Amino acid sequence: MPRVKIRHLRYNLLAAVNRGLLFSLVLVLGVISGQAAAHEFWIEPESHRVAPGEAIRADLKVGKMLKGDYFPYLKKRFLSYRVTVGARTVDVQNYEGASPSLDITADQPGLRIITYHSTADRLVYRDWQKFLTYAEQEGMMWAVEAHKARGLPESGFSEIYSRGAKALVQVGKADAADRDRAVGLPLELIAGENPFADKTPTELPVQLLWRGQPIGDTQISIFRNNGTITRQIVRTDATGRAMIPLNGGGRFLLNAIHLQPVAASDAKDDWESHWASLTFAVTAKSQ
Amino acid sequence: MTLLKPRLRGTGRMRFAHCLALIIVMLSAAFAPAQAHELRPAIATVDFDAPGRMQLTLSVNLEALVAAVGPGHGDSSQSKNADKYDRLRGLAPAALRARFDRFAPELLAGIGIVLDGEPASLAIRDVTIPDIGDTELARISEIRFSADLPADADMMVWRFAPAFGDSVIRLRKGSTDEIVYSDFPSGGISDPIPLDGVTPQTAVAVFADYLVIGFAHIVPKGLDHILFVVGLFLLSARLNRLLWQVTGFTLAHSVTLALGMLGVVQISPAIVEPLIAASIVYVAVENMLTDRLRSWRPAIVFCFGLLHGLGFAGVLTEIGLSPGHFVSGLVAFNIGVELAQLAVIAACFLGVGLWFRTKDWYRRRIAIPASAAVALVGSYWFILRVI
Repeated sequence: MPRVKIRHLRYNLLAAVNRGLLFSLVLVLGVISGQAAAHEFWIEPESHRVAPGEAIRADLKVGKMLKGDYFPYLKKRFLSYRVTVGARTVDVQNYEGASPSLDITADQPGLRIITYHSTADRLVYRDWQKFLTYAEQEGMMWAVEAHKARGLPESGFSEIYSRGAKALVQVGKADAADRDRAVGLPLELIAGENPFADKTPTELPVQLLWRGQPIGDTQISIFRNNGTITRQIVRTDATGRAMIPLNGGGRFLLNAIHLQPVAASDAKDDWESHWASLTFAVTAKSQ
Repeated sequence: MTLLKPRLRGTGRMRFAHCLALIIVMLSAAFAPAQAHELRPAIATVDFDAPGRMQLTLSVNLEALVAAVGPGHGDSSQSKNADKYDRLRGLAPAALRARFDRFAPELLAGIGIVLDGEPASLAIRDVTIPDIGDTELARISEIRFSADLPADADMMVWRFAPAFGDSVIRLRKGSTDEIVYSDFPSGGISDPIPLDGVTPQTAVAVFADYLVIGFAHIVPKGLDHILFVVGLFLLSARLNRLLWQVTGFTLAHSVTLALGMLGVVQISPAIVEPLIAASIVYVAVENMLTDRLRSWRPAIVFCFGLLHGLGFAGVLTEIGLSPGHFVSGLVAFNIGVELAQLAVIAACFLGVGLWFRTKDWYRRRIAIPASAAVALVGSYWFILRVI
């Protein structure tokens, strides 16, 4: 009996080491190849810092590793598209098909919180591996188990998804009143400090809210472009918080996904996801 | 690069084989050319750049069109023709152009511009296909078409076969960058789009428009210019004296109007406007002091003409001259101004000159008091424009 136990232990240990190695490899490959299963959606301002009186222009982008196709302004594709500064929120206006999608003048100083909430789209999985890769990359392996437990097929199932994107643009000098805040996206990332503050923080606390409540144990992908484009991942704690390392500066895209089963048996879709992104930029610290 | 390893849940039950499968997926994802490009709608822009003609520019994912990726897919990988799409995306511009040329009849059958119920005959003029570039991104090509535009067309409908996906239709005003209409229609067919004010005017219509604008700028809108001309008339009702002054004035304001419009000379209205008022005072006062055409008078009137021309340029800049009709618009405006000045002189002559210019009391009873009144009004304007 003891021999068996030992063998079990060794087997488990080996398996654990293997798993660890394999997962690291999977992650590294994911990072190197940039082949994320799903595409992020984000707001990409021409510049994150703008002087009063200058134009704020931004593209809507869909892609991977901070490289994406731009999308024009199309009213039918969003539920809301707004710019919030202080207590004032205005709808983004433009003509159909315009690009850049956002083109406004920054009249007054202050932090602009630009938010976009897309209409829902459907993704049909024809390939089980696509779902596996997605779940793996986005740190949602529980969904693979849940999928099986629900007795869902390995192909021909669907996910309905909608995107909530947020970008921060600082007009003029940042002051204490320039704070990001919840503006009502279903899944929303909130910067705990102003990344454009005079004293650039070395890390940025963020909080993830789902329907206004903090949501823990959810992966946040951190894409950063400071010449090279990299991806890191962190998970939110029980209070929905996570720290984003900022050293080295660059343009940042944070992305989080809330995936949930569609409960109703008569529903057209099997999964429902809500995406949240947050873009901002940090100037590299001059030493 | 720092990797923060995630705390993965539910991995305990993951098998080694499962992980291996994942690795294979990742490897194949890393090296296979398969792409998923989110499909954005085609953007159709109609330009009415010349009378009788229109141009359509279709900004589109050509690969998606040729591969018949079809509507209703969030991205290209969702289509049953995803492989074909990926192959086309990897083609160099010349090779994709060859594929497009074979597809062109299908495209021409599927799109259309309908003018007052009549389909316009679209001809493909050229196709711009960017280099392969980054295949992780969609490639957007431009197809340009042209068609005849009937002069009386007043309603347009845009048609884009639903099988090609969504499209945005935009109308650009003749020879400008201004988008005057844009819509994202559902179901492949646009609402009727009124073309009034969008299609270009004929050269004759533009000329007539600016002629009227020029005339109206003097009569009835330009009381200061009217008084100046009245001032010129009041010096002497003899034709040759009038002719010298008016010719000098016209020559001068034509020059500065053109230079002002071309942006060569730009002087603030804060300077020009009081000086115009001062010029009225000057001619009126000189009228009271002499009835002779002094040698300096045409020279001074010429200088005042330069000032008035800058004033005209200010007005015409506000109205705007389209680049396509710059010269004809400028000439027409000038002629309009001229006709209005002649109308003022004709009115003065018919009202006063014709009957009284030979009377010995003409100067005492008419020319001097009228000039005094003109000088007073001019002074009042001068003060008003300075403060």
